[in-house]
Amino acid sequence: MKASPSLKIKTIIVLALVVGMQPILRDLLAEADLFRKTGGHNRFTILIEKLSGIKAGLEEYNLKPFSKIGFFMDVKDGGLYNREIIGMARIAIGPLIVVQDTDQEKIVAYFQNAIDIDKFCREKGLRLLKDFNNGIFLLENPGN
Amino acid sequence: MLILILMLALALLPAFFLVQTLWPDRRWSGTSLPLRASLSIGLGLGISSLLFFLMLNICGSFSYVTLPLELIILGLFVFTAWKANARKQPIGAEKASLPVSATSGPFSKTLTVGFYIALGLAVVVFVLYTTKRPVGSWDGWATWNLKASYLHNSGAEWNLAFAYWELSDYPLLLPGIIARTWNAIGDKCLLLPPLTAFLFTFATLGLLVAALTCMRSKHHGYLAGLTLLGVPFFLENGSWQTADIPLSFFILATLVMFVLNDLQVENRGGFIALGGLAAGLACWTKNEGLLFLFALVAARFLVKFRPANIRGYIREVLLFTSGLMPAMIVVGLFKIRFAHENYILADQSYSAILEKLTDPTRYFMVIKYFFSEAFSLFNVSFLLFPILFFVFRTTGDKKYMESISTHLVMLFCICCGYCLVYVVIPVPLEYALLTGLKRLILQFTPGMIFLFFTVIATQEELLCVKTIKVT
Repeated sequence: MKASPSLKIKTIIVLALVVGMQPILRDLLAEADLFRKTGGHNRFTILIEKLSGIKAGLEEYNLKPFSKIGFFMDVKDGGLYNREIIGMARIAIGPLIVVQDTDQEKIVAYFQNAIDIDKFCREKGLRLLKDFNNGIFLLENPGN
Repeated sequence: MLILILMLALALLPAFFLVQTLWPDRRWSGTSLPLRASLSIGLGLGISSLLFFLMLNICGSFSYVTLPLELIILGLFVFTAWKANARKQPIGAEKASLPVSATSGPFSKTLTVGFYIALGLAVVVFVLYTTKRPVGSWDGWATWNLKASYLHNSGAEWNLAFAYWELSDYPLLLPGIIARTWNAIGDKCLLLPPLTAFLFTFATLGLLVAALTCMRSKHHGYLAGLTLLGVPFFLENGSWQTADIPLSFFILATLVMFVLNDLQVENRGGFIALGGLAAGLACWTKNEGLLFLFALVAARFLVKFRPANIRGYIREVLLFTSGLMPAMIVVGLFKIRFAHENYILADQSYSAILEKLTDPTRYFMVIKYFFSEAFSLFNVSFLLFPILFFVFRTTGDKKYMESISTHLVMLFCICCGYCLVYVVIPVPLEYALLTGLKRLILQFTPGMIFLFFTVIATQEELLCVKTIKVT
């Protein structure tokens, strides 16, 4: 017995709905679960928001677009995480060119753990220019 | 937030009036409104990026010139749309150049409701993806958003940015859109990159559904939309803020315009000019757009060029070029003045390229991965294609078949082009295939789904044939 055209079409519609919905529902459940666990907070957003705040602070130091600025962070894995953090810093304070070293004249330091900044500056031979009160500091390298 | 919405509206509205100017139907509303609206989203964002880059070259990174210019262009397009509409003849139902779709039939409501539920859930999934990756995937932030960040308020020496970019031969459609709007609102609003990605992702879906609804039937539109949503990588890649989905939008828009043009009874040429604009913006989005343009021109020549119809062919070329030129001038300016040499040619000698070209194992590997990545991309939605084809069969209409054959030739040319690029690529081949091929296939997925649903018969045609056979 041959199926009627309308039955075939009904089958197609049901199949299309299943095929179309299946990945959406799967991803919805997975992403909603992740959202519940993280509360929607993301380390990248937090960092960019923190760093965006320092951009206005940098203006008083007359840093022109495309001048280099050093970047230091206390948490180092030497791999993906650090590269992502540097990337976020570049997006946040570009068009300044963020370079991961402390040899530049001005340096942005990002501390995720508690730090005695004066002791850190003494050890590294740097000078504190500004504390943004959120783990971000603007430092100067007097030897440069 | 309000100023962000206003700036996006200022980007989209000129394109809406430009589309209305070139559209054969004089009505502002009507069944083609969703199609024109979806088309305007991508074209509007693309045009604003072109203007931004031109103004960068003329005035530096300075928003106070760009904004009045955009307002003038908006006024100009409103005026031309109004004047053009006054000249157009109203298209009556009996003279309609495009087939009018049927809206009723078995399971019609189920399909409609099902599609809109899937669409709603897709929006939620996109937002959740974005919450997880607010600055996009690695490529999203390391390439596209970083470039936008360097162009934003970069002053008179903005071109220094090119010294610090990787992949500096990549065109600047996405960074242009984002930097233009950041400059206008005076701040790096982090909502803008995901919002742009959202607009492109859902405009692609909207364009696919609306085009098929207009040309074939409402059911075909919804079925195609569900098929695209069934490609799991589509929404995820859309939220990555890379240029793959914007490119897929412009490829789809070009195909839609060409097929609409081929189906017109009275060919007024507006679709071809819009197709040219979309193809030009594809070139401004990614380098793959240039391959697409080359393949499209070659395929149209191979299939359409006939000595007996040389005047018609030249007219089509001229109309297409008129739409293409604005974007190609900007692409040319960028490639000549700023882009570094492409790494495929720069990072290896010609003898190394020749050695790779004569190595058959590289070709086998590319073909093997092409099939495996295509299957992995579509997942279970692959099953829909043979089943739909078995049930609906092809439409008997010659016009559709001729138009589709052109674009199948084009797809073949593109596949050959990709194959050659992968064969000579100067990085480990398997790594390159695993990291990039799926995204390349995704760029053509909406276009391929559109062509597939254009060529198969509609439910109405199927039922009509059955009725005729019975009587």
